[in-house]
Amino acid sequence: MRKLLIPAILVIGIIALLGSSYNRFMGADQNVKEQMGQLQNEVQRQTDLIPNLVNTVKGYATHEHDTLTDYAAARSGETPLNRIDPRSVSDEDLQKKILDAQTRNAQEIKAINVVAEQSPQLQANQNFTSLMVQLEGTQNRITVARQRLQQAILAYNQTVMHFPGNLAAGIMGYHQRVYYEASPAAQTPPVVDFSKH
Amino acid sequence: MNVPTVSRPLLTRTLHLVLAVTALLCLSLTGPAGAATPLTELVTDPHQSLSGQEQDQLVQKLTDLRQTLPSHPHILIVLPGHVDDIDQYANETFHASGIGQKGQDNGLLIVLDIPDNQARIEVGYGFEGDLTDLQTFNILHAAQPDLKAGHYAAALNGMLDSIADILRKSETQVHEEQATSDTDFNINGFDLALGVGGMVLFALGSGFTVRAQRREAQGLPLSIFDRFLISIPWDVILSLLINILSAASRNNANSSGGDKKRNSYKSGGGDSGGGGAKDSW
Repeated sequence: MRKLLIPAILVIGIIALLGSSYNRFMGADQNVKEQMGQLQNEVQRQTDLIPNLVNTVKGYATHEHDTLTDYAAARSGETPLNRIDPRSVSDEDLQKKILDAQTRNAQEIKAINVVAEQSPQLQANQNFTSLMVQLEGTQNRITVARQRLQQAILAYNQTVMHFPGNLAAGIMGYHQRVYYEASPAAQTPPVVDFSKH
Repeated sequence: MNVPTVSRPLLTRTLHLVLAVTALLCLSLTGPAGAATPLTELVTDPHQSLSGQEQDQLVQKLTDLRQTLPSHPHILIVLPGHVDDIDQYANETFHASGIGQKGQDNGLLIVLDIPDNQARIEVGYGFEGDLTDLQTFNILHAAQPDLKAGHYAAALNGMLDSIADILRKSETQVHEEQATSDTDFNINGFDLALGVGGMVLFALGSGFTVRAQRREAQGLPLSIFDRFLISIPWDVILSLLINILSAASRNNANSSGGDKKRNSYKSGGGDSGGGGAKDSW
């Protein structure tokens, strides 16, 4: 009987460790997915706003007209970010799609900023101001969503990599995640002089 | 006879080690560096840009709005002085303070950075449908004349009136008491000590009573203590303890949200995702 006691305690200990680790991995993983979904939605929200802005700006654009038209043509026919099922793509692929969308949005915003800076009449346009305020709002939401995604990934990685969770993580298929790093090129803020209103 | 003694250097080293470990533990419990300071007052004005009377009037207004509007908004005002990034400051402070009720996210934060002539209204998730970025921008924009003239209280009152007008027309309704009691199920230190201490005594007493009853059943002699334990109505005491704990938690839930002190605010667990707008004057 005593011979069985130590193996039994060991088995119970291992089961308890695996069980509690699994719950922690699941919770941390779920949090990362939620934050990733939030970032997808916010970047898509920004993407949806830009065509309206481009339509408003086009009439005032001279040099940037062709550039704006090219961007609009490039985005047509693409699957919206918020319709991509995170389970159907790898983390890295999804992050790349989000980053690509964010970078292209930033390039378009940059082109819009150039037109706005050259045209005082555009800055006095109520519709333009309204869209720029919304664009600024989405930019801020993206920043918040990105920070929270980073925090969620950090918490997940700590759960997966630290002892004793790291003993069980690999067996259960939970591996270290890569951080979502948006380049400065993907973060052009909209510029508008609201004092003209 | 040799009495073992602890040498003075060893004692000093041990004391230093204990102090170092305690200091490390304290540091590890202080949270990440750079985290925003949570707001504990409805109106936070460390640089006294508002007069005492103006501050009192604003606190009264915020309390009235919370009680009368169907969405029971938790609105806080802060005049922090200079901040590097007002968007980041507003969001992090909102998050750290947990403005609004958990699950309802019916919180709003007005930030006035007077040295840099900029203001921001940060909107909780629950109000994003009612107060759009454009509406909050227009509210801030309308306050520009007062802000430019340095009439900060008038500007804040104007903002609150506009916010109240919009929220009064909105369909967002929150059951304040229910949501509060759901999220703030806490009891204060004294009640907790009373309840937990009582429960420990109850567990010990009932344990000894079972032992005494067993001795009685076996026909063994009983001490006066055993007889005393058997005579105690433990079921009545248990019921009494449960009632104390329950009443204590109810009292706490009713007083949560900053009602004890007029200007105080207690986190409700609400959050914001960066909604709202900023403007400069």
